[in-house]
Amino acid sequence: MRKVKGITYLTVSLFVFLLALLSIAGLAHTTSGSHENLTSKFLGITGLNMNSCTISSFAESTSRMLNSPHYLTVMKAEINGGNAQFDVLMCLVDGKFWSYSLSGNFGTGELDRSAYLIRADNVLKAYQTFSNASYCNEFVALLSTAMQTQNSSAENQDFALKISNSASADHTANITIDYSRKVEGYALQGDCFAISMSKNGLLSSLIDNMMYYVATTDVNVTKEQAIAMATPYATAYAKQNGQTTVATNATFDFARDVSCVRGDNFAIYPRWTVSFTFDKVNNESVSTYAVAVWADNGQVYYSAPQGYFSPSNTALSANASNWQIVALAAGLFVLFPIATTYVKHRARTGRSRK
Amino acid sequence: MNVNIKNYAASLLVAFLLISIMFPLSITLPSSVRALAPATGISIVLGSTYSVPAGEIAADSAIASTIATYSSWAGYTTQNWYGSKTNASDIYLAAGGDGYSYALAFYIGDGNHWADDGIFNAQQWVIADNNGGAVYDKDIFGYSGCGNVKFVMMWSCEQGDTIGGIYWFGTPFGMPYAWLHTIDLSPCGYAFPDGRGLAFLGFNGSAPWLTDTLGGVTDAGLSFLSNFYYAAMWNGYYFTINMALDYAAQLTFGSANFGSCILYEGFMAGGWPGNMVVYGDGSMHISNGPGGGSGGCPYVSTWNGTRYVLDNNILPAAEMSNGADVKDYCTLQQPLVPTYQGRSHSVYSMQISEFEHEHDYFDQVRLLAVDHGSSVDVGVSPYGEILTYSNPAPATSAVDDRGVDVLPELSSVDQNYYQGYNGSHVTLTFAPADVSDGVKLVIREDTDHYLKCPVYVQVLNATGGWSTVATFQTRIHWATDIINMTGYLPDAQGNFKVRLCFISTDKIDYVGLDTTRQVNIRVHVAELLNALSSSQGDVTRLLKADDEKYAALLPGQQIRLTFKLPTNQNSQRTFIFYTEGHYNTIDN
Repeated sequence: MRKVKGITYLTVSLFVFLLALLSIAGLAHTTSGSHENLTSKFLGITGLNMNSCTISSFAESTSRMLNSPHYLTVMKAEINGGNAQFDVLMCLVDGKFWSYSLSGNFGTGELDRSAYLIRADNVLKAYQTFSNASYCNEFVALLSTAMQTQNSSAENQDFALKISNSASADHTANITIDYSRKVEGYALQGDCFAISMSKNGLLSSLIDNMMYYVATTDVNVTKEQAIAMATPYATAYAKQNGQTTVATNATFDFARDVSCVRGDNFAIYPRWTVSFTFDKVNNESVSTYAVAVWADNGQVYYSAPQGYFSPSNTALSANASNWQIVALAAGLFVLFPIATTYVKHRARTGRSRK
Repeated sequence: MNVNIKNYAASLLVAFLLISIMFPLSITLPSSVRALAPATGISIVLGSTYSVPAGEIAADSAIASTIATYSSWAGYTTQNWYGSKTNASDIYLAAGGDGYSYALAFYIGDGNHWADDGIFNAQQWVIADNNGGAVYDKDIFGYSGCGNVKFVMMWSCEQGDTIGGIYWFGTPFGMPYAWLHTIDLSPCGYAFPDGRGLAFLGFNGSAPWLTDTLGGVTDAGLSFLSNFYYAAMWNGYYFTINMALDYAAQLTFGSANFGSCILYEGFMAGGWPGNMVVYGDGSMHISNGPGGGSGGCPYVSTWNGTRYVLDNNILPAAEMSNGADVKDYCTLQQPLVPTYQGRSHSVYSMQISEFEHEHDYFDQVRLLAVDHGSSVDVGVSPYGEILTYSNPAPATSAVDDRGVDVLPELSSVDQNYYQGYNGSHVTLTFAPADVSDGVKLVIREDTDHYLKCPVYVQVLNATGGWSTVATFQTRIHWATDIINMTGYLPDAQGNFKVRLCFISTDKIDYVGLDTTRQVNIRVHVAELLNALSSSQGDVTRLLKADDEKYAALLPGQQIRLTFKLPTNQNSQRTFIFYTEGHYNTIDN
């Protein structure tokens, strides 16, 4: 059996991961200037009236993203003008626009749904010009479909749109428009593009995840092969913990290389995830085990028991820490008859003395 | 009937007496709590290995080191107590901020809650210490009355079930209340931050292991936490807690924001539901971390009277020394305030740390104190000459290799700088001056780049070619270098021309020529009282002499140095930190 498994694999990969976390080769500390114009240009599409607002302070910094070959430039601008006072956070990855968020006092005004969507439509069109992003055409078309049908969702063969109206979904948003992406008919996790509008109709956040790219659609590992590759890992764990596998399930998807095990966390690969259900919960609270296999090259890149941070069985058990309450109960238990007797006695003898 | 009432009254009296006597004890500050020190800024990392499998421990330990590293970078005094140091007494210490008036706490490990009285069904929340002992919310509460802890992240089951409060019989409950000592917290600090500067992040229900697969993402918790602290701590100047949560959710789950990610919306871990909660103020920043950063190299921090502040990187020449020891003289730019000041002597504290991906070896460290008059400035050359200067003259011309006039960038200290790159150079011409008292080049420099190469200082030789007369290393933060040019200027042609040649990306803010006389200075070599390494313990002996006996430093580790110096009575004091050693890049 291959050695790259279980704890050994995990320990090595985590160590490598930690080192990668620490290997932050940066470019710049807080400086001013170079992307201020870009920020100013972007703010023109947010609904802020930049004729009456000015950027009162600006700072930016660039460093390598964690566990990634890419560089993150983060920019913070303070916007002032009239009654407006906002903080803007913008991020670029390798110099390309990635995300934006606006925070501040958005006031109490509220628009109706169609007004939000019209503004969102304008934002999409302006962003298309700003970033020269041709995929915005499809986003605009989907939004238009949703507006015409008055639905909260729409989809075509590449993208799916969802409109949600929830103040709690985003700390600044009143309405959120999410696009998700399909690869070979499979929906990718997360959103490929999303915008949120604040109560008063400003663009409060935008994220463009279209920089994630499909590295390959080749699938060279069948479901049966994936299960065969994964089984030894789960079996070894189960045996070690006195368990038996009672169910095996394999699912296929296209997944981002989040842990950057293949060198680029923005790359997307086909993947099999095989999960094993055991006959019982062991003393580590574990009853399932998961193994992930890249479906193009057959590499098992992840295998781990699935658990949670709560003690099993008798661990961390109650130890009558509320001893005061227990003492109170005990005290009452003992003292109540005594007190009762005493009161009865006083009632009897006290009266007789008088 | 009358008797019954009296019986009842007597019972209540007894109960009242018992309650009066016993319950105040549960919130009385235990005598063991140590006196609070008048200091600010600590980040304490706690974690229990109890009943956690080995693979998960590796992940938990990694995240503890990562948070500690980022905390140090952000300027916090950092305590990584993951493992055996996570015992009840140290958890209580953390709840008081270890005496610091602004404290952050992180805990990872098992958690639970139960009603342990058997009578009133009064729920209490507990976390595990490293031996599996239960540490109760109500006990932690007893140590947090100082209000020092401002931000808590508890990656543990159930600790975010409730903000908490006080039961009718006087016992406090709930981990947010226990740590932050208030229940005045927004119940949804993410969507509706309360702006009060306190926040608690935890889990309602189950908390997944960091190595679990969540929403199809492997090692999801590890990725989420790493990215959260990278944003909130390393880049804390830019990211609020909410923004850092969004950032972590975006990179881990590909979500538009934290509010639409599986951690917030809810998940199943081990068949048990859970979701992450934010109480209090998600709009707060927990650090002023500037982001950026560089390739590996150790850093020196100074005690500024309230906390350790990053001064600069040290041993930059070791980048190119192939493992050979190098000597480094670093003029400290940040204040170094005594931790003790007596009539005859004072004690100073400094810290050297490795944040990134180097394995450092220190052979010797020294602290030099230069006492001088206020009319002069003091610098140290790359070769250890301590030189005075005052009012250096800027160049009269400065032209780069493309013929571009860069004088405006180099004529004043204003961070409007010239940026050199591999193959570039700048030729500076200074006005002729009387050099009978010596001549010195004063340079203010900085670099962002991980590749630390020397900058070459050249003058014209007799044949009209350029000869290198000195080199200096730029540092990660702005620093002032001084080069003794006596004997080199005027050059063989009688000119006051200097050329700076670059082979890496370096910034030069200012270059001036100083021809003032060297004034009297008094140099004290501080006595190294002790050197305590976070990994090796006492390494004082290893650092006292140039004997090739090394104190080592790995990423996330620190050495705290304590020096003794004569108290400075009247004059101005400049500090120079000398180190000798080398470092190797840890190969990923």
